[in-house]
Amino acid sequence: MININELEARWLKYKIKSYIPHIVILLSIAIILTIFALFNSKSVINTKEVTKVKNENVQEIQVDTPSVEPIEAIADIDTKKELVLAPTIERTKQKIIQIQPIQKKKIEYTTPNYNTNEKTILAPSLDFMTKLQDNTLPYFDNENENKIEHATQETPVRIKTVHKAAQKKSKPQIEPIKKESSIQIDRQNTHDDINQVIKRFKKNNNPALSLFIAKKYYQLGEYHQSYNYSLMTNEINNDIEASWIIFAKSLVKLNEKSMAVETLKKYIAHSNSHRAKILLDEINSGKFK
Amino acid sequence: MKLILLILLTVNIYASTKQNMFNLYQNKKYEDVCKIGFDNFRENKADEEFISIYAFACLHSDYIDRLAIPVAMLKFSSEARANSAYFSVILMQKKLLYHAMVDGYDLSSMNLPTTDYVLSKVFDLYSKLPKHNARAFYLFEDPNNMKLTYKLYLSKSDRLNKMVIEEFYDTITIKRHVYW
Repeated sequence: MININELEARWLKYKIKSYIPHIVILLSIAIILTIFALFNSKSVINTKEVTKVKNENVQEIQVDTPSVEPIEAIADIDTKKELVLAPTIERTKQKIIQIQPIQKKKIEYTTPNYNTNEKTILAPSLDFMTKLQDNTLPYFDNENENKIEHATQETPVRIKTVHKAAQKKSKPQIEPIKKESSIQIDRQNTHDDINQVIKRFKKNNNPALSLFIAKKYYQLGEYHQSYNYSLMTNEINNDIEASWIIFAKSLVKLNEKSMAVETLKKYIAHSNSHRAKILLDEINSGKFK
Repeated sequence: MKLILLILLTVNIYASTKQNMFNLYQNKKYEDVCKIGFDNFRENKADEEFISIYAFACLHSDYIDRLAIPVAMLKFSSEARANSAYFSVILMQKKLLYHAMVDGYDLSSMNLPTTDYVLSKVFDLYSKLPKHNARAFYLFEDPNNMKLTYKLYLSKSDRLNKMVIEEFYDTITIKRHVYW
């Protein structure tokens, strides 16, 4: 005879045991979440304030989006007519044509005495951007770049040239690493490589990449391109010394010596760079042509 | 082990948000950066770099009111304090100019610090005007570039009047900022 009560009791125990892992996982997740919640609540600003402002700003978004709207009616107060701003150039031209007669009727160009000397000018500090930029490309440094430069200068062997003596030996033997058995990596098609870097630069607009491209073009003797890319680098970040130097060198090569000298002088005044000073002296003395 | 993995994953997510914002910022997608920053603000409120990127992006996309929180929170480094002061001046100038445009508040006695931002330029030019009756619009010439002009006016509506600054270069509109 089967003892049903005993069987049910055993089944119940089995069922409870089967739930234990799930309960443990859930509990551990709950504990982790509470730890994170406690960690976050220790911050300085009261979170309620943040959420309040957040809500206000959410309402703000619902009200309007200032500059994104493609077409927007402006109530022009003088003419009592509505002008429509459209995204296309033609329509903006129309708008300008409509505005011009108003300016002729009532030109009130107010040019008050604007002396910036009287005012304290506050400037933003963007050093944190350079820190972030450093974090974006940890693999790009001078050492790597020099290695690549050396590789391109050597004879074009595609991937590897293992020492011949090592190839002849048929039996695999464990030997201490010799200096002779070196693997040389070289790249034949530099333009393809540059194009790839240009693609990457267009994606993330990183000044380290544009500087790399500028240097490569300079090495290849394409000074117009090196000028362009060093200019781009300077526009993104005007504190990169190497970029200014490539920029000045390219200008000299493009027979724009006076412009190069002027640029270097301005940069030296701004940064007090020694490398720039040396280059300036070389250009002035005619050593660098 | 699971805990460590979870912590690493969380840290990675935070870092990637900031990195993503930075990349977008470099590509001048300021409005996107401002929105991402707004959505992820709570998780990154202790990170001053994050707050600074968020604030600059909101400034460039004309969400000036959103600068209020970064102004209050940027204080732990000298760089952050400089940026905080910069944002606070712009925010104050916006509020004062709007008050003057809508309610006729007199700004001629003000001598505030200024910034390179367009709103500050217009504020300075407006505050240099002597006490006057409200005009339909104001045209200001940039003192440093004669070809640059700014048109300041109120766009009136039933619900809310908006202050508009239009930048012209040789009579061509180059940018339009709307504040309220």
